[in-house]
Amino acid sequence: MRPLPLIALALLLSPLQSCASHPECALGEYESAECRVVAENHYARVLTSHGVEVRFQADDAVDASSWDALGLVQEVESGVVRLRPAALMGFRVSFVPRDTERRSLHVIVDNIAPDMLVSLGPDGQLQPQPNPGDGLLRREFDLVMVDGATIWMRGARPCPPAYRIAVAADIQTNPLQFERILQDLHQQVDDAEAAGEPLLGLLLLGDLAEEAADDEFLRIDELLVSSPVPVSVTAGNHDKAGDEFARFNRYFGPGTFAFDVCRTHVVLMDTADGAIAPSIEARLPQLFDKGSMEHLIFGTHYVIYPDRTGQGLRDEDQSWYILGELVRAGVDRLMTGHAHYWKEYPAITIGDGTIHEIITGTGGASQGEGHPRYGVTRLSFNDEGVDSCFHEVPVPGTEQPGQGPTTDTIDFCTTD
Amino acid sequence: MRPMVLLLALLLAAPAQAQAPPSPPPLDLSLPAKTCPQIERCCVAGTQPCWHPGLSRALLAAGAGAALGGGLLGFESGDSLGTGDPYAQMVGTGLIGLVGAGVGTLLGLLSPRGETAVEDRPGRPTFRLKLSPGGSSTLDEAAPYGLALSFDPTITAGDVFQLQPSVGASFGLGTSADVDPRPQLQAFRQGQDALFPVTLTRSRLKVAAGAEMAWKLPYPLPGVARPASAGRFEIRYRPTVEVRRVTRHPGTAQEQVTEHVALYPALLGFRWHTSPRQRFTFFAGPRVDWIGFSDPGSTELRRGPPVLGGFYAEAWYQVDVPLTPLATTKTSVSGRFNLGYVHSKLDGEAFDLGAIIGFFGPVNVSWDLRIRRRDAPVALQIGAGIWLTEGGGPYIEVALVTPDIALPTRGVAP
Repeated sequence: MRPLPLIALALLLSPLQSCASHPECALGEYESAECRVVAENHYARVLTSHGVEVRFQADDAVDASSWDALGLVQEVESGVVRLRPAALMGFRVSFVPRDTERRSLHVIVDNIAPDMLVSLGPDGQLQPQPNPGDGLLRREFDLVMVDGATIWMRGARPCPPAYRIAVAADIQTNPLQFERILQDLHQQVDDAEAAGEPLLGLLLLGDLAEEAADDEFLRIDELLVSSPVPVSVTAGNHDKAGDEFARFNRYFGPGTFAFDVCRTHVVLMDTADGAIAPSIEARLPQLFDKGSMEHLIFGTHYVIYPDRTGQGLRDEDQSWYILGELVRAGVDRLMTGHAHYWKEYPAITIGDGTIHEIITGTGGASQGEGHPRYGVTRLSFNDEGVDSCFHEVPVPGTEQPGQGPTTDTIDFCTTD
Repeated sequence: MRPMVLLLALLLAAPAQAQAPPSPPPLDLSLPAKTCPQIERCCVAGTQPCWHPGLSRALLAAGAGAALGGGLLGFESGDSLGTGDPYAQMVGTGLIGLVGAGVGTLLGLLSPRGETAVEDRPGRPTFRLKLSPGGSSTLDEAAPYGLALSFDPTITAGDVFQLQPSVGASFGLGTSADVDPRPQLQAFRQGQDALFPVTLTRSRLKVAAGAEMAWKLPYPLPGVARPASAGRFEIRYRPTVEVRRVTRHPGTAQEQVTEHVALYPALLGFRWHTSPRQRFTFFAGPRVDWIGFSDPGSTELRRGPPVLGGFYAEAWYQVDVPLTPLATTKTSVSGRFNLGYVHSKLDGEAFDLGAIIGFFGPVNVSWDLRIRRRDAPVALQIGAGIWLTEGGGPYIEVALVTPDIALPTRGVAP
């Protein structure tokens, strides 16, 4: 028996540092949050088949030497590049040919608002491109690069004084209901326009799929084409479980990114692991910094506030850190999914501050035996600050919005 | 801390007045094999009441199965895990009870001489040192070894009441370091792999104090007959307070601190001795939190008022294992197998399964070994285990067991 305890002890005490070390994600374990940080940055650039480096760039990038995970770049066929900006209001992309040969590229830009103004050209000489006015979320451009000059593409939208953003999460096995929600968005766009608060986009907070399979992501990607507004997406636990191929990032781009919507700073974060990657944890103060913006909205899949049972991140300490940073940053709404219902925590006490959290896991996923409540949370930004309510999209055969059982805990929208 | 110092002094003085556990009696192979049969009713000399291990484990399995089924059904019908839903706790506790009853039955049937009590079995030691390995296989990252120390003397009042005050601390033997792996940030050094900048360092400290009290209930209840022999039952109460502090350097030289004080004021439970060698222990209770955090570069914590925190639960099934072949005329040796579930996510450990991520707390499988020189007042206890969880891992323990401090009792019935 003696050798066995000694061997066990030796194994236990042998420092793992002595094993072969390798860089983060060298083995391609995309189920881990940190590995998906690598993936989302990887998919934010591409070197095309004929030698053009296409990169998403931050708005303040001074040159094209680096890039940022603010969108998805794919070469869908030779010489044809598809861009999917992650943000709702704008984007910036650089095209750098590797040599001085004449290069041409056909560029498809998806998920951009119909009122997005796209400009194109060399640095400092960007030319506005005509808006087709077709109301679609897709534009196509032909680029010609000569003498190795870098071409920039920039998209920007006008900002109304008051505006709305819709938020939902959790589709999983019911993309059909999600399709109804997308169809309902068309009416919401009209109603919002009439109310003087245009609907600027949808935040989709994870669990788009049930099993992180290609056909599931492909279906959601197809459905998003029918949306009247651009959609910013982050990942949920069902979008990564069992997936060693970073499929979510391959279809939708980054899961963690920040952008501004007029006077609002929006941060979406990948918590699909029930945790955030350590490198994201390190960047929280930077991501939550709203700068000159008036408002801060944080959207993620997992319910950060652990409440009294099993909700919350895997490690509560990380929850307390995120919540503390949100208090410090002055968050207006913490939006989550994961739990399949709509629930509001108007004032969660965190240290010497409070946080307003809304769970809106209402994108179509099963809500059990109770009365299902599907739809989106409407965030309104106007002179009075930030307001939120639940806009229901009932399944056929159920009551009209806001009627039926379990309505007392839901703050239904009472205006169009 | 003064009471603990006094307690320590009392403990050190205790050997003179405390009774060392009796030496395990030499094995008498002449005893009939049916002294305490594996699953039938049996009476063990010197212990009360009689046992019926088969019935006890069947009752435990039924209760645990009901908890497991109820938890799964509740989650399936609600699909919410909302406020007040106890489903994850029910599933975790039910699984431990069910697996424990099954493993216990198997081990009972495999016991060649029946389930007689194991003398001087492993229990909670007085002084304990626990080490968990660290290390990272990721270039430029560091994960320190973890060290935990605890002091848990045992005070008894006859066979009816037991008190175990406890104080302990755990911390990393260094600072963890994580890199920012974004490919655009890599820098090259000649002859080495790509290097990423270290972007986050963390150090953790946890201090805990509390006391566990156990009352043995008259069997099964006062004035009630005892036909079933369904095992001894103890009511337990364990008020505890824990302070966790994490110090971070998130991408800057300025440190930030988060502090979580968790108070468990009403952690109530029971221990059910399903056989002379096996027992099921359950605790549950509310948690009260105080959360604090600091601004970058400041050590002043922005603390808040108490708020109701996560509902805590834990369940353990333990099986004593006689290791007679290892014993000598001078040394007694006994073992204990532990299987447990802890419904808490305070230490970064969670039992994940597929897309079921972060719902459950950690699962523990461990083994303790107690070695005592016959008639010696102090025993050595060593243990090894693993938290079968994401964020968990193996650990070893080395501990000393000192004699119980026996309080004088008057008229306490054994």
